[in-house]
Amino acid sequence: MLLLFRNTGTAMCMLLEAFRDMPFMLSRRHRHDVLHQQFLTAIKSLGVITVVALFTGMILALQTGLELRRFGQEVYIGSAVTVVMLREMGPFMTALIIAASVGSAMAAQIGTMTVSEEIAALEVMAIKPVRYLVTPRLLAMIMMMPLVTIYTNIIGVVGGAVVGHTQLGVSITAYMDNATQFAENKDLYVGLLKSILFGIIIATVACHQGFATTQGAVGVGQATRRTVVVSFLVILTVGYMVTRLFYQ
Amino acid sequence: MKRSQLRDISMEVMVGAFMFMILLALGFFTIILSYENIFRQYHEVTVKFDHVSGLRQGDNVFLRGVMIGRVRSLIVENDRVEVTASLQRPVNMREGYRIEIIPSSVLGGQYLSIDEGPPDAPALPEDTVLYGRPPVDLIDEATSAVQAVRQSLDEGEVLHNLEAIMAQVNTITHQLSAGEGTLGRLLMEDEVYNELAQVTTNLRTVSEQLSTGQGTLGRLLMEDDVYNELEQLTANLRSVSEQMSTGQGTLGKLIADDELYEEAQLLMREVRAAIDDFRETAPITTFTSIFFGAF
Repeated sequence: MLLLFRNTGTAMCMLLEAFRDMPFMLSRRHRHDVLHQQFLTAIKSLGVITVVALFTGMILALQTGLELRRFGQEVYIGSAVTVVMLREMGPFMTALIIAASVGSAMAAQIGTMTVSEEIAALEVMAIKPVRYLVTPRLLAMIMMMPLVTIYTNIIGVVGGAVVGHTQLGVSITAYMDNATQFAENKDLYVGLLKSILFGIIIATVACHQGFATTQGAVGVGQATRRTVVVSFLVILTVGYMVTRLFYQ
Repeated sequence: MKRSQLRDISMEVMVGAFMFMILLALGFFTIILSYENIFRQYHEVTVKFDHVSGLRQGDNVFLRGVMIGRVRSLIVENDRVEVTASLQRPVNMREGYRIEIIPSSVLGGQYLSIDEGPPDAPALPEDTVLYGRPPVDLIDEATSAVQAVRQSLDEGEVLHNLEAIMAQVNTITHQLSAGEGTLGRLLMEDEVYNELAQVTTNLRTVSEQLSTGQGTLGRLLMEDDVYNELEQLTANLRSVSEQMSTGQGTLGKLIADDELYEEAQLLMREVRAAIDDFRETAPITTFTSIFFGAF
C-alpha cells in the first residue's frame, strides 16, 4: 500500500513537472519531438484502430439490433450505436489500443534508457529527463487522443450503419436520422474530455513505469506489462467517474 | 534535401492532414448534433403545455405527419412548460389548430405533432399564444384501466359473486358426475339412452309403415281413394247447398220460402189461442165433472 502511495505521488510529481515544461515544447527542437510522438500516437495506430472501431460498431449494431428486432424497433440501432460510441466505447476502445500499443512502447523505450543509464547521462548533461522525454509524449497524447477518438467514433458509427443496412434492413438514411436525433453535443464533448484524461493517464503511467524500471531487460518487460495493466485499471476507474459526474 | 528531412516533412504532412480532417469532422458533427444548420433559416414556434411528459430538446416536430423541425428548448414556467421549436418552414395556425405531444414508440420517445387547423378556418394573429394539448401517457392509461378493473372487482363484489357462482357450478358438476337428478341420470345412466333408442326404433317402424301405406294413417297418406271420396263428398255437399240456397226441396223451401215461415207463425198463434181457451174453460169443466160425478 505504501508503495502504491509512493508510486502515485512520484507519478503526480512527474506529471506536474511535465505540465510546467509545456511552454518549452514551442521551441523548434522540442516541436520535432512532439510531432514525432503525435505521429506514433495517431498515424501509426490508425490501422489497428480502424479495425477495432469498425468491428466494435458492427458488434454493437448487431447485438442491439437483434434485441430491438424482437420489438420491431431495429431502426433505433442508429441512436444506440452512436450514443454508446460517443459516450463510452469510442474513448474507451481508443484508450485501450493506445495504452497497449503506444503506452507499452513508451514504457519499453524509457525503461531501456533507464536500465542502460541513458537517463543518468541526460541528467549529467543537464538535460531534464522529464522535459526531454515525458512532456513531448504527454503533449502528443493530449493533442492526439481526442482526434483519434473522433476517428474511432466515425468508424464505429459507419460500422454500425453497414450492419444495420445489410443485416437488419435499416436504411442508411433512417440510421443516420436516428443517430442524430438522440445523440447530443454533450455526448460528443464528454467523450472527448474522457479521451484527454485517458491520454494523460497513459502517458503518465507509461513514463513513470519507464523511469521506475530496474533489473535490466526483465525489468523492461515487467514495466511494459505493468503499464498496460495499470493504464487499463485507471482508465476504467476514471471513465466511470467522469460518466457518473456528467450523467446522473 | 536529406532523407531525414523528407521523412520529417512527410510525417508533418500526415499528422497535419489527420488533424485537419478530424477537426473538420468534429465541426461537422457538432453542427449535426446541435440540430441546426447554420446555412438554413429557421422559424420559431412557441407552445405552452401543462406538462410535456418527457419531451426533450432535439425531439422531432411533425406537421401533418411530415418532419419539419426539432424541439429547441423547454422552459419551465410557473404553471406551464414553454416549448420552443425550430421549424424549417413557417406554419400559419388557424382556429381549431392542434398541437400535441405523441409517444413515438412503445420503447419511449416523444415528438411534437402540429395540425394547423381546418383550411377554411380563419387564421390566427401572429402574436397568438399557442397552447398544446397534454400528452396521453399510455402507461398511465393502462394503469388507470387496471386500477378501475381492480376497484370494480374489489368494491363491486364481483369477486364474491364469482366465487359464489363457481361454488354453485362446482356443486352442479359434482351432482352431474354423481348421476344425481334428471340431467345427471341422462349423463351417467344407460337406461335413458336405451329408452331413447327404443323410441327411435319405434318411430322408424311407424314411419316405414306410413311410407308403405300400412294402417289407416298410411292408407290416408299413400292411397288416392280416400281423397277421391272426400272430393266426391265435397261436390255433393256443394250441390246440396246450392239447391238449398235456390229453395229447391223441403229444406231449401224452409230456408228460402217465407210462406212456410208465416204459416208456421200462424199455426203457433192458433195453438196459443187454443191453449188459452182450454185454460179458461178448465175450471168450469172440472167443477162440472166433480158436480155430476157426485151423482
